Amino acid sequence: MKATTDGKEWYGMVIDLDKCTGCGACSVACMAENNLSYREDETDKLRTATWMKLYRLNNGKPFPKTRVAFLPRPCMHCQNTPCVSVCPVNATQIDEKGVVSQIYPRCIGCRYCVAACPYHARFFHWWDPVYPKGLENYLNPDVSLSMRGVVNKCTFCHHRYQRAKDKAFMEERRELKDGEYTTACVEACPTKAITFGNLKDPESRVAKLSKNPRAFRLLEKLGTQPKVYYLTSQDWVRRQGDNYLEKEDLKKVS
Amino acid sequence: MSIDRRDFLKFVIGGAVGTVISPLPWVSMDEVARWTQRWAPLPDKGGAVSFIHSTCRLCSGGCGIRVRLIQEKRAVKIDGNPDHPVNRGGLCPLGLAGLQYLYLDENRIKAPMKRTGMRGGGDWKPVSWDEALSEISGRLKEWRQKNLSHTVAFLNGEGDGTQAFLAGRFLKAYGSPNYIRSYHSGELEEIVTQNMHGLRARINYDLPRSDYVLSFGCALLDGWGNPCWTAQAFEAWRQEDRQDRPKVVQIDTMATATASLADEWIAVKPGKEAFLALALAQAILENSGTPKNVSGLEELKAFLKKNFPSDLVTKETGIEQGTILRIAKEFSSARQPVALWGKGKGDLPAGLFEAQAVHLLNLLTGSINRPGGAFLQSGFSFGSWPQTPIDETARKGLSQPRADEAFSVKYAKTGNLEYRFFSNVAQNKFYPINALFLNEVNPVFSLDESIIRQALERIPLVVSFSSFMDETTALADWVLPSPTFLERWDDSTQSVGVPFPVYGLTKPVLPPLHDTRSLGDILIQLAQKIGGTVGQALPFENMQGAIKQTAKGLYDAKKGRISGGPAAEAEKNSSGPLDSFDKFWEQLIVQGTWYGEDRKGESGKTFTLASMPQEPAGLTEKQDNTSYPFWLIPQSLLLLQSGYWANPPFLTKLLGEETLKHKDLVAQIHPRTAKSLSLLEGDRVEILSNRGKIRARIHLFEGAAPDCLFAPLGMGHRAFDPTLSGRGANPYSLLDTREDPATGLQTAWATRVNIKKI
Amino acid sequence: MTENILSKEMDIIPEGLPRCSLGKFSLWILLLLLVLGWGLLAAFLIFWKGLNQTNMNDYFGFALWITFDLAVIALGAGAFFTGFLTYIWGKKELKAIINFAVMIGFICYSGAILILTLDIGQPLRSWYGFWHPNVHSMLTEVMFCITLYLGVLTIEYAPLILENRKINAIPGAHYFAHNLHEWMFIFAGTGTFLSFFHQGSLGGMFGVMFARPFAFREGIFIWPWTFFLFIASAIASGPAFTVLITTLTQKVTGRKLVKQEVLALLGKISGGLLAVYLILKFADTIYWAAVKLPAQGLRFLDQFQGPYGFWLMVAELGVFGILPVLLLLNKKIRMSPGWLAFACLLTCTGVVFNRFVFTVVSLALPVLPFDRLVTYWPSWQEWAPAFAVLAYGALIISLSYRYLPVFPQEKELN
Ligand SMILES: Nc1nc2c(c(=O)[nH]1)N[C@H]1C(S)=C(S)[C@@H](COP(=O)(O)OP(=O)(O)OC[C@H]3O[C@@H](n4cnc5c(=O)[nH]c(N)nc54)[C@H](O)[C@@H]3O)O[C@H]1N2
Ligand SMILES: Nc1nc2c(c(=O)[nH]1)N[C@H]1C(S)=C(S)[C@@H](COP(=O)(O)OP(=O)(O)OC[C@H]3O[C@@H](n4cnc5c(=O)[nH]c(N)nc54)[C@H](O)[C@@H]3O)O[C@H]1N2
Ligand code: SF4
Ligand code: SF4
Ligand code: SF4
Ligand code: SF4
Ligand code: SF4
Ligand SMILES: [Mo]
Repeated sequence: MKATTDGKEWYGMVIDLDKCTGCGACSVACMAENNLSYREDETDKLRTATWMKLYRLNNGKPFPKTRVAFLPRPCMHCQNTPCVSVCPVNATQIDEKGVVSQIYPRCIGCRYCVAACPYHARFFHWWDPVYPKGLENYLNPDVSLSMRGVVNKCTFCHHRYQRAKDKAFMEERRELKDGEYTTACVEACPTKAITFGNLKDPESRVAKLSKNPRAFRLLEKLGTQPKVYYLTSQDWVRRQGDNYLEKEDLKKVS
Repeated sequence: MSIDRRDFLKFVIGGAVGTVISPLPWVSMDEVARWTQRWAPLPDKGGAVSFIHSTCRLCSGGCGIRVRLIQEKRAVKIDGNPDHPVNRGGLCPLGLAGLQYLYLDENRIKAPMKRTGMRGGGDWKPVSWDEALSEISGRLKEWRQKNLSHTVAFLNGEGDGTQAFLAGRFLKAYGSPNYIRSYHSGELEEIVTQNMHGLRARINYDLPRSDYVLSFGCALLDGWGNPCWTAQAFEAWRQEDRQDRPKVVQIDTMATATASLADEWIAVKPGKEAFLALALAQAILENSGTPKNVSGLEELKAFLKKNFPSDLVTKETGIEQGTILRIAKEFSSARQPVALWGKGKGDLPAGLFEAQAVHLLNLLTGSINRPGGAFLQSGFSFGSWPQTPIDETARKGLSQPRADEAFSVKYAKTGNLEYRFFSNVAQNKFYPINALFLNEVNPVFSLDESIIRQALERIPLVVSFSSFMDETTALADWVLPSPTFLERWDDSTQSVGVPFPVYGLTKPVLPPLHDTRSLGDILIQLAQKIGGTVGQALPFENMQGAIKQTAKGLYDAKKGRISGGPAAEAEKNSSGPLDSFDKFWEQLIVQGTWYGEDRKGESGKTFTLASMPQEPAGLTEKQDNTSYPFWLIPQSLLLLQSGYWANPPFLTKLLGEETLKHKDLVAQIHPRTAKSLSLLEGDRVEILSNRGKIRARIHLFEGAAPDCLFAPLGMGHRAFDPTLSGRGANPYSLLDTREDPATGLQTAWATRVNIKKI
Repeated sequence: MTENILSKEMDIIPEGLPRCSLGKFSLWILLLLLVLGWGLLAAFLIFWKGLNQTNMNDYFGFALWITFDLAVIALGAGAFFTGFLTYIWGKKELKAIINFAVMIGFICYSGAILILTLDIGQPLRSWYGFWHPNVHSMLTEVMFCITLYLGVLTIEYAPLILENRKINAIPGAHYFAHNLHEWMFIFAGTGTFLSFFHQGSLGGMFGVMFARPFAFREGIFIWPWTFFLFIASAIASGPAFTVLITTLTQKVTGRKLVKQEVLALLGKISGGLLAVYLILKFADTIYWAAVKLPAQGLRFLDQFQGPYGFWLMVAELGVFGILPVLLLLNKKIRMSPGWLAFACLLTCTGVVFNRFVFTVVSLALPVLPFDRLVTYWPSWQEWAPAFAVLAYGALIISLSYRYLPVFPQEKELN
């Protein structure tokens, strides 16, 4: 579903893969911020919910030319969302800031959106969430918990937007400063590989970085128009950002 | 009453119609839906939010943290302190998961306990702190009276900070030479610098400013050194607009994160890093200018030429001469190059031969104490503390030889020999040990378990200060549980590996959850109970007072700055806000971090050939290649803690299928090697070494060196919650650790193994 | 006592139609109840413990059950299409089989809805689809249409129940049944309209997933080509399924129930429609392979990997596509009960394959180049409800056949 893009805010993210060491801090920060639960055995990677998932890319060459690279994958918050329009009950929506939300109490758990998202950014809650004794203490009161049988996903830490807005309001400002609304993964990254902000503000760091010649987006040919951009100077990494025919040239960011 | 068919039909139809037009079905549908919304627990709503600055103590990185609190009683998130000079708002994954150590009830020890049944039998009775401390101090007094103070030993996994300082000071005043730190990279650094520079110092690398980094197997991106400092460096190396375009070269046996993200990866044969380093040294000596202030270079050149001819090097390392010459040229012509040693996380001792061979490259290129290079720095100075008072009993005790033979004639330069301590005690070598205090160590997990058990059997009193029932604590007689770093006063006196001073204050961000006392507080209380010079050595009411004493030294130095505040220099002349120690202390408590900005190194004696170590015979002695045709290479992962700290659930959740699959450890192997063993992806194998055997599944990976098996360290615990306990296997138990005769340290890396399909 | 029960039971059986002994029948019903019980146990586990009881995962969000639903709904299309042919197109000879076709449709749709209830993570919220519908979602259309259509099928099935000897004796019931018959063309029309839409929407569900290159198709206005292809394949296979089940019932009961001409007519219609469908399907596949996929950087042959290999396409379109067309369009074969049933079996298998490919293969194929193919095998908790629905169908057919005058030609033919 195409979102209305008339507003002044249009949030997006840039992840510099040249700077990403695959440390996983972003994933852990996301789980801690967003009250994700864990189970005893999380090794079935097809059923484990890490909103920020770390992919290990491989250049496929033989030893010792083999190289891996890391690609952290939040929800792309697609402008042209494959997931929103398919939901039969409007349980997932894209708002005027470009944030694709998920409303747990409304979701019926049909998983049509899961099937529609090519990025695997959506997670079905297969089990009742369990917080072993004591851990209920660290739950973030700003983030509601997803119950069994519904879908959950990265929200661009939307609760932080409200916090930033409240602060701006107290300081009698109507607009947010660059970086004032930022996400838990961005804050946590020890190499500062992730940048978040308003793509419509030409002065924001995220807007500038998204126009970097190193920038590309995942599966651009599908027309989803992700708002998460990646940067890389390595051709083999960039080539894995989309499907290419053998002789096809790398697509430059559009 | 009889109901005929007609009545029944009326009843059914009437009832149905009635129900549908009544609000009942709609209300109940709605209620049912509401009920489903309560299937997830509701976070305790709201309350005032506050942020408290403190310092992470989960490793020696000393990162600045900011804890988000609800109503000052519930900690809901740990973030990085944006004003901290090392982590700058970011954090490593371990620090971010810190609240799981605090809150995961199942793992915490809630009150002091005394063993009731057999050692390790798991039967404990809760005791009061008074009872515990009276009994332990009573025994300590008794030994002192009997002139047996030296039979009390303290093994500390925590190195920096006032708490560790107190522990050392306590033992000194009490009269025991047996204050032993478990292995840390600084141990070897001090020996290297003593041999090559004539001074004992830590080596701190100015990584962000280096423009050529030659890493000999260091898992730079997987926990080597200080994860947040290497992260800062990596970011700096990858700065798009940086003029000098730094180059990172990783010498490694596998396409690890570091090898892959380096600019160049040189695949070396396992354990042959030293040969490569010496070949590079030789090439530099022959082709590049020699550094000033270094004598004996001509002899070195001849020595290398004779002992490490290029064909031997190529044969041993598997690396072509051309590559060696090219790297030597690049390295020596870089402006600010640096060479790094310490394989994996650097937490397992390397051989001195290898460490010195690599460090030689820094020496030859003038990278010592130069921006971007290796800084020789002594540790934090506890200058504000008075000398430890020592009485006659203590003097006698301290004059006894150390039970671990550190600084003995045989191991003159080695400061701590944890393994040797246990093996000596197990063999009853010097004198009986009456008591062992354990803090933040888990040798049962990371060393040869049978030796540790034998040693512990000979020690009548074993006391652990652990917050968790780890495998070693399970064998103690007393457990005096510590609060976590979020519930106690503590400090980090140096951010490890960082070439400028960083002091981090740790304070309780919330009241202790359980009936715990910090090691510092316990030591102070024990000292008071013992009295005399021991009491005088620790003259505080509590740990907060001791830390204040340490911080006084920072204030008196009139240097550096408190994070988020102005530099002390600027303050000095004006009567600024920090014009008294009380104000300084107040600010420090609020901001959490003090740091100095200049990188200063200590210069040492010049290098001479006399200190050039020979390759130790014991280490390269032929291993049994026919029974054990493969190499096992332990893998360090940032997401898998392998030392005292057991992996927190969030990190275990992120482990990939190349590390853990259900209950099985996963070891990576080259597809060709797997094929030679008729192994397929996911097959279960038994891995055997001369030390033991473990089970694992295999994962095929093109980037793994052929004929090697890469097994991650950190799984295979018997203790802790179900995310860890009984899952995976512990490769430590396979490692063929051998003593490096030059240092007495147990070096362990690649180990010969056999692989059997099961 | 026993005799009493036996004679009472005889009273409910339609007059003049011999049926097997009550003992034999009970044994058969018991068997079906066992399978049903197994399914109920699985359903209980799924409701109690959640969908973790299945082998579905975040890659296979749709799996066996959706395949099953799509397949039975397609096969259940025999009901609306036969209704359409009978009441609207005016093929009066099909009256001989319309009852049975409607019954099969009813079983298919009610079974599908039962399975769907299991399949959603929050069954207690299933009514949200009507309360907060998203009109842009194909799934909304499906939900609306199939629930409404199940209502229509119930109404179409009701007169048959009312024709039971005992019930028909009640005057009200008799007139009600009679009147319903009169108005049946209205329901047939409504059913046809609803069915066309939801059969299409089921295909549309896949075709609109524009980020899933395997499934995505363009089309007309809001409807992707899969919308039309699903309609075509459903109306082609629905009648074939009716023929198949009728033949099976004849085999089991050992009685001739419908004139072979009637079945042959359905077979002919099915074959013709299948031919049309295949032409469209080939056109669609060729365009997809030659134009759509390359535009997204994908190769046709890469769309068949691992166990989901190219054999699937050969099977679906060749063995279960072209072959049954050839068979069904041959009059001799149509008039041979065995061959006709065989051809219909091929047709039905073809549509099951098609639904399987769209559901499972669409999701198994990685879209991200660094992702990998995943495969899936259902857990017993998934199989059990599917088999239970089959048992439920058999149960309804058995009871209906025994106690209701399902086949108007039965007396005449035996
Ligand atoms: N909590 C925790 N702490 C740890 C570790 C851990 O895992 N957890 N890891 C350890 C490891 S592996 C490392 S590499 C280190 C690195 O951490 P560093 O801080 O680099 O280690 P050191 O330089 O040994 O720090 C100890 C300092 O304490 C002072 N000190 C200690 N005892 C005495 C004493 O008796 N007298 C005097 N005057 N000074 C003393 C010295 O100045 C010495 O420099 O950190 C260790 N600390
Ligand atoms: N996420 C994260 N991970 C880190 C770090 C971090 O900051 N963050 N820091 C890293 C750093 S700098 C270090 S030094 C480590 C330290 O962190 P840990 O590994 O937690 O430190 P220790 O528990 O001291 O681990 C050293 C182990 O080696 C054993 N040992 C002692 N002497 C010998 C010996 O002679 N031979 C052998 N084979 N073993 C011996 C000891 O029993 C001890 O258990 O942690 C590293 N890991
Ligand atoms: S990434 Fe997936 S979940 Fe996120 S907006 Fe795009 S399609 Fe939807
Ligand atoms: S799973 Fe939930 S959010 Fe996704 S399509 Fe179904 S109802 Fe909508
Ligand atoms: S933006 Fe927030 S929700 Fe999304 S991955 Fe980052 S931390 Fe998680
Ligand atoms: S925190 Fe930063 S460096 Fe670490 S994995 Fe995430 S993006 Fe990469
Ligand atoms: S690097 Fe060490 S001190 Fe810093 S956050 Fe991680 S565990 Fe804590
Ligand atoms: Mo260390």
